[in-house]
Amino acid sequence: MGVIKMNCTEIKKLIPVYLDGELGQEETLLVKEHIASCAACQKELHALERSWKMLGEWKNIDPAPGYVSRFWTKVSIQRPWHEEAAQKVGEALDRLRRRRLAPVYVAVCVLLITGVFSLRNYWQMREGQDLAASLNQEELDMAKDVELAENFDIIQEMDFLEDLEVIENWGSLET
Amino acid sequence: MLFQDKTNPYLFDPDVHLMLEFQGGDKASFEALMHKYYPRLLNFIHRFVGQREIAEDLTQEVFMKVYQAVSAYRPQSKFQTWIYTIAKNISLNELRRNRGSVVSLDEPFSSQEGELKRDVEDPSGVRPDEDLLRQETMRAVRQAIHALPENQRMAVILRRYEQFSYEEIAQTMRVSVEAVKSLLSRAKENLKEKLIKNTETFS
Repeated sequence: MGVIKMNCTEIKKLIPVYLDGELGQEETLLVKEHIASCAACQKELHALERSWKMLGEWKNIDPAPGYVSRFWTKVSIQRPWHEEAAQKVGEALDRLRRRRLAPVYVAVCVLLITGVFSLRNYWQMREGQDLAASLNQEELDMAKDVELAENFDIIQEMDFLEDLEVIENWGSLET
Repeated sequence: MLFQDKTNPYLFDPDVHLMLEFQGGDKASFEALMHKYYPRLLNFIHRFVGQREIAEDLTQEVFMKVYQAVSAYRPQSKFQTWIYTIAKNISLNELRRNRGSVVSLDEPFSSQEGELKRDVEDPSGVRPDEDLLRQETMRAVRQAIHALPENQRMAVILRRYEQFSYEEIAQTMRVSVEAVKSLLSRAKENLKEKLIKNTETFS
């Protein structure tokens, strides 16, 4: 049978999986044959077997009694989602506080508040300017009208006086 | 739907059946699942996170997730794979939340385990020094397992204590079977290094 020979390093890599019986047929055969004639790999196999067996010393524990009724109690007192969410936000804030980010926190708050007030001031100023601008335009128009109305009388008067002068001078012109 | 049900291989899993019965409103089926899986999951989580009280809480959380998921449940894997995947995710989240503070290696001797071991050993009349040696071995085992990287530790626990096949480990951990082989090989090598050296100093 043309089985490829493997060296110890390659065999040692296969031994852990071989011990679990999870190697393919061909590899299993290779490991078996090698181990039969290699003391170093035999030692490795026994050490791995022994340590794996030792894990059995960590025995199982039993659940605390009443785990089923404890579960149903938990289900019955489950809170609505918004309370859960509020708790999560609270926890997140707590975590931030624990990380000593308080100064950063305060700085962000101050910036936010200043930002909001500056924006508000800016908008108030803009509104004021707009109002003033629109008022001025109307006022200007009105003022122009008033001026025209006032001047109308003067112009009419001037026209009348001119006419009068013409009449008065009429005689002298003729002569 | 009927066609789908006939071709779904997971419907042959009796635990999937129990879950579907619970979906239909049968609380007793849920409790049957709890009785079957609670002790196993508790031990799985306990070995992974290291503290008994936290393990109890997390096991309750696993069942809460199952309970909440029931209305949307569709059998897409074996029930065992599904519930262990939930337990794995919850345990990993816990470790992320409390990185470094969960595993307590001094805990075992104050807990129930010591008494449990004595109960088992008393009938055979084990000598006190032998008992001490076994406790030392157990301590070494716990330390060796907790010294492993998370994914190696998970694979070891599933294989050694839960008797999962490589295929089942792969499905639960969402990795390939080849990755499981490599994880377990490295883990076994690490454990051998720690345990064989340690116990040789005891004996």
